[in-house]
Amino acid sequence: MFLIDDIFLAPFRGLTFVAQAVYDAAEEEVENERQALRDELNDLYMQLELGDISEETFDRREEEILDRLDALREAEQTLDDDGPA
Amino acid sequence: MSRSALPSFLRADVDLLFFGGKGGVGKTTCAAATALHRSRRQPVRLLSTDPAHSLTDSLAVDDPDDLPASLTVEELDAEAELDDFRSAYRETLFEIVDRGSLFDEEAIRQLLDLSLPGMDEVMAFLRLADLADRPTPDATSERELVVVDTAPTGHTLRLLDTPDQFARWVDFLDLLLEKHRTMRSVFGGGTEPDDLDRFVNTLNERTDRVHALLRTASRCRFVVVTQAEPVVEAETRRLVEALRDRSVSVAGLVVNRWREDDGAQTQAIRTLRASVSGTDPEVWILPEADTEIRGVDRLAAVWDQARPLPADPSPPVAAPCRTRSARPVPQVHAPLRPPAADLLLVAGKGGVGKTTVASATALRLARSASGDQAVLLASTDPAHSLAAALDAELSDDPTPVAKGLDAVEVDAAGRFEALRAAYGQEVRAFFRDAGGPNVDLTHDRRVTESLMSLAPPGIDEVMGWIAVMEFLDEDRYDMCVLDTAPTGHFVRLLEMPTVFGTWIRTFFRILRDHRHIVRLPDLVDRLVRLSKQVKALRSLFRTGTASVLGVTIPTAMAVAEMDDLRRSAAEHNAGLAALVVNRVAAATAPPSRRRADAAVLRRYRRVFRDVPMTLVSEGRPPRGARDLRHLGNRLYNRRE
Repeated sequence: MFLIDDIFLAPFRGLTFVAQAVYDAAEEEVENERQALRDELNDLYMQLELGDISEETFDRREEEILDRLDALREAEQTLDDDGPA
Repeated sequence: MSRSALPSFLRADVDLLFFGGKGGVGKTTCAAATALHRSRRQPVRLLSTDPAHSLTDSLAVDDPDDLPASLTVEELDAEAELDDFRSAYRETLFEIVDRGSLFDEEAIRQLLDLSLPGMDEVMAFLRLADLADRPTPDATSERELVVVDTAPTGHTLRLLDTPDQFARWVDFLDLLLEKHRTMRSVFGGGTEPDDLDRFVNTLNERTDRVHALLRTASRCRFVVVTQAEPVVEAETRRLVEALRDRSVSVAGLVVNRWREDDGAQTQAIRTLRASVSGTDPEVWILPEADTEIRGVDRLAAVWDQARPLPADPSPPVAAPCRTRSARPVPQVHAPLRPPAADLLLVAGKGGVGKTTVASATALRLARSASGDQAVLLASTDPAHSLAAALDAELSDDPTPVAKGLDAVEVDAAGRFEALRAAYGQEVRAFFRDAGGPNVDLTHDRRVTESLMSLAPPGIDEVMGWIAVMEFLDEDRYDMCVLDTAPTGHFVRLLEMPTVFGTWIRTFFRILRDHRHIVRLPDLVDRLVRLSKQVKALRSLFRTGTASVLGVTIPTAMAVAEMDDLRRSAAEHNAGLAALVVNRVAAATAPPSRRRADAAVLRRYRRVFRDVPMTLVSEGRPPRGARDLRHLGNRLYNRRE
């Protein structure tokens, strides 16, 4: 019985597995990207504190990074909405 | 009282005699009185290790020549000692760090130049080491006795632990040298120790000697000063237990300000003595004086008043409630406007009632707090007494104690451990993974491990602020009332935010300059957050939303100390919002005391002309949230 079930269901199993793997990979990428952006922000802050960059440069670049973080958040939202059941 | 009945520590043949206890119990008085007494027969050095010194004030001599020739008074100046230490060993330390670490010259210099406001205990320890190392005098001259007037409990325990802490620092230095030693022996440089090795060895030996000295009963004894008040007893018990854990010998227990009343005090002290079983110290009582004991003559006569604790619980009237009813509820004269600061630091001399006033104020402020906003009452004194005052169970997590009020006793050591656990992982992982086939980081890994086992000086002040910044960051509280350690360490607390700024920038610089080798993203993230929190904290001070509520008592010494406190607070942009003068002689007190108090109060009004002031009369100390709420309502006006 259970052998038949296994064979019978194999294609679906495989499909779920692939979907999960794709989802995980995408999520990992989002997470890595988020970490990278966080580190970039911290780096920028350190440079400002040490007087390596001006307030204006900081503001401009901070906004860029924050925009990218926002975009990332949206992408993640879509990912979650279409995520594997 | 016959002359034979004197405490044994007035005779004991030791090198070191410590006087310690909760703030305001009369440590300085007892230490100075003992030093004067003993200087009749031998050379004595009276040393104060409390950053808020009061020896000179207590002795009240303008001209040092008025002191007995055999008495030397020394008030330790930690900053000057640190500067001396640095200038004497700067190059040596530089070479050691240079030999054993990845850091470049620039980074090491920056690290060595950082200011360390928590160094009081370390410097006191080094001073004791110096004194212990003095050559034994020849047969004709007598050895000098060192009488130590310590800072209140919390920081005295830190002082006693300093030798162990220092030993770990010395181990760290030794480890830094090891790489060089190994190379030297491999490349035929011999195994003979060089100057730096000898320097570390000397430090090691000195540390061991002080560690042993503190634990040798024939050379070092501790006199615990206390009072028969519940909150003081609780702290005294913890102190005596801590001394026993550290194998420090207790020579005696002095119960100061003894009131001639009933058996309740005797009973309380008996319980205290029983609870410190195993040490069985002699117990002496000193009657409450009508006026402040100040000046050489009065100090020299202190021990004539001492008598042993009565052998029997004399007439068994010992119903504890009698003391309660016998002493009136404190009255408030001229209530204040409720303080409007976001951060209110309640500060003052030890034992003047800071915790009581802080709790009463926080309860009063919570009453008028609206909506979901709440008040946080936090203690940063390593010898916490909030829980005892509120009669509540408190921890390192804010706990609700009343509507709109949470209270917390910051566990500095625990918080430091947690930080270390959180970021140590990352640092270890970095050293495990870093390097390559041609780079051997084994040594640096061990150096890092050792570095991370060190506790920084001033840990109470550092972690106190970090905790408070976290609480304020959470936006749960719109106001924070801080119950701080007594004056000396309160000043250190005020110095911290500025010092943090320099530290963080130095770390940033090192991280930037080594960014291609060192990658510690989580640690950097925490540092950046800390940097932002420090900025927010400093802006509280800059914009005047952080202020100080001074608590004091009507004695000449307290006026001077409060004036010093106001000056240091002003240097760090914290204004003195108001002054609470506690324990003013009640209407029923003897006329001589009332006159003396009135004179001191006039002085307060003159010195603190622009500061709103309220008076609280002496009486039964409020205990528990009910009493404290009642006091809070009377301390402040109804209207905002």
